[in-house]
Amino acid sequence: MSDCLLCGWRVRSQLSLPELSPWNGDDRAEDITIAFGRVPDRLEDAQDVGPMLQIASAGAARLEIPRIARFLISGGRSVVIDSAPGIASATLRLFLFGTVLAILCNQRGLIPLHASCVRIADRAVAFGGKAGLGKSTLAAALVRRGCVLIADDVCVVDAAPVEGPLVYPVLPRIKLWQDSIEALGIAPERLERVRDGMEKFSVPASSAFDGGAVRLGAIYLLRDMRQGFQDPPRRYAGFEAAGAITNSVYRPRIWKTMGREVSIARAVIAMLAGTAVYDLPVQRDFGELESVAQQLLCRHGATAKSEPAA
Amino acid sequence: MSGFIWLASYPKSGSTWLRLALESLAQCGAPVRLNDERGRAGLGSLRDMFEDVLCVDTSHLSADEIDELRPRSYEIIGRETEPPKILKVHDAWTLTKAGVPLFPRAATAGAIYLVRDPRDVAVSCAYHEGIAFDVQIERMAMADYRASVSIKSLRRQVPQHFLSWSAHVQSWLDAPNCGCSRCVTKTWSTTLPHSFGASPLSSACLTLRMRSRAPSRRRDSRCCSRPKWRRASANGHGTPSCSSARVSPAAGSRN
Repeated sequence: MSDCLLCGWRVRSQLSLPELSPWNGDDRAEDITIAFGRVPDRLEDAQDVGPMLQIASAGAARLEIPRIARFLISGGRSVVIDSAPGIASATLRLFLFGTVLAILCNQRGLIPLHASCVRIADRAVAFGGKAGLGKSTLAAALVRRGCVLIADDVCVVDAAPVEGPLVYPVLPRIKLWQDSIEALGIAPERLERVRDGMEKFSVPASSAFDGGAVRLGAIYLLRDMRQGFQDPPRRYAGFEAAGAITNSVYRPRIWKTMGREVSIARAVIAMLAGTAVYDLPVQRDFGELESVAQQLLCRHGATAKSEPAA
Repeated sequence: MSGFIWLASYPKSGSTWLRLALESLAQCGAPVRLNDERGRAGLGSLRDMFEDVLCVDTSHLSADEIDELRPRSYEIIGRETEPPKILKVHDAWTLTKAGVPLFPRAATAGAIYLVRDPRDVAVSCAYHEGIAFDVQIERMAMADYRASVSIKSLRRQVPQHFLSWSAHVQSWLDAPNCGCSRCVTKTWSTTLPHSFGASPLSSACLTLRMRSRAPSRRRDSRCCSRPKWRRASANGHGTPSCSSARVSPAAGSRN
């Protein structure tokens, strides 16, 4: 099997990853290997982060989704999958590209934001906020207007480059619930369910997805607002902005247990230097979705087409 | 001491009212924010709370998987919750498929169970859900009614087991006592106004500068500003039909 590209890494995987494009970069050794194997019941010297996750003092993590699979993630380089019999590959990928990816980022010193992200003009614009507020739906609305999808759910940021934080594209698909698909006018017939029996679908967003890293320009934090979108997004400043980014780093229990408070704080400060952070009130029922998308395009100087693609 | 004091009830039985009163009491009578669901007296079924500890999107888990993970989640969060916090829950006191109590003893610091006259519950729930009274009454009689099991969209709350109204009440009354002295059952019914003046809730209400009387059907019908209800009104289906409960929503539309 050929290697593939994920967040700029060369990935060699025994699990088929059809969402990823083949590796066509340099002939470096693989950055990450994904293999099937045995995962023990307990990691040595591990702490229970929650009912499904153990993290060992050395940073290795064991994630168990009951009756689905166990994942052993270590050194930022290796993922071992111990799958229950008959589990669909799509189900394994769902958890692989979520929590497992976030753990890999932590182990590799990167910042996994819990956000969707698109490229508008030449900058990455990320959308964070609680589950169900429409991060993915807003990203999908922008993709329909010609933006390039960078991430959905886990947005991988490298805050180390001196010229400014970079976002590494994950994969060209967005997970959307049926109500979002209806709101966006997408035909659901040909879409793959993220898991059997769930009305959440994997929507391809592959146009112009090239896998190159993009400078982070802005982070919008979606907030439930019942009265609609009237005021322009308010910009957070200083301490408030730092707190808002920190809260958006994927699952705080993971990085706190890994002892990353200081490195996350450093990264957040680095991100503040060139990244605007906004509070974005949205309606849960996707009211005014298109006008929000349009305003975002204008604000970030997009030359992309302003009407959604049919 | 750590863990949770469950503030349990069938929906629309006054638990939000009591939760906010207790939230205020916990802050020496300070005004409370109505939408703060994660304060000293919070909501025990929010996805956010479980996702914090599960570290996985609950939207990627089935209803049964979430059920199975809830007891252990309550234990882990409960261990870190000191002093105990009030958590409002609408689930019946049930066992998971694995036979584990949904509200495990290790996470329990106490429980308050509110019972409201089911006829009032039926009326109030019908307005809350924007459905006909008869549909609501059928729901309250279903042996295993489950809420927040949406197939189309992500709900803010995880799926919950209500059972029937009667089984709900019975489940909590029969729940094994955790051995503490805090477990009490508070009856909230249409007869409550007569005894209301002396209750601790009354002083909490005074603190909140609310009128010291129980919500009545009148109040219920005034509370129909919810979007679903507004939509129902706009569609011309504003008046839920009702054969069993003789209450006209129009009768109480003005106080």
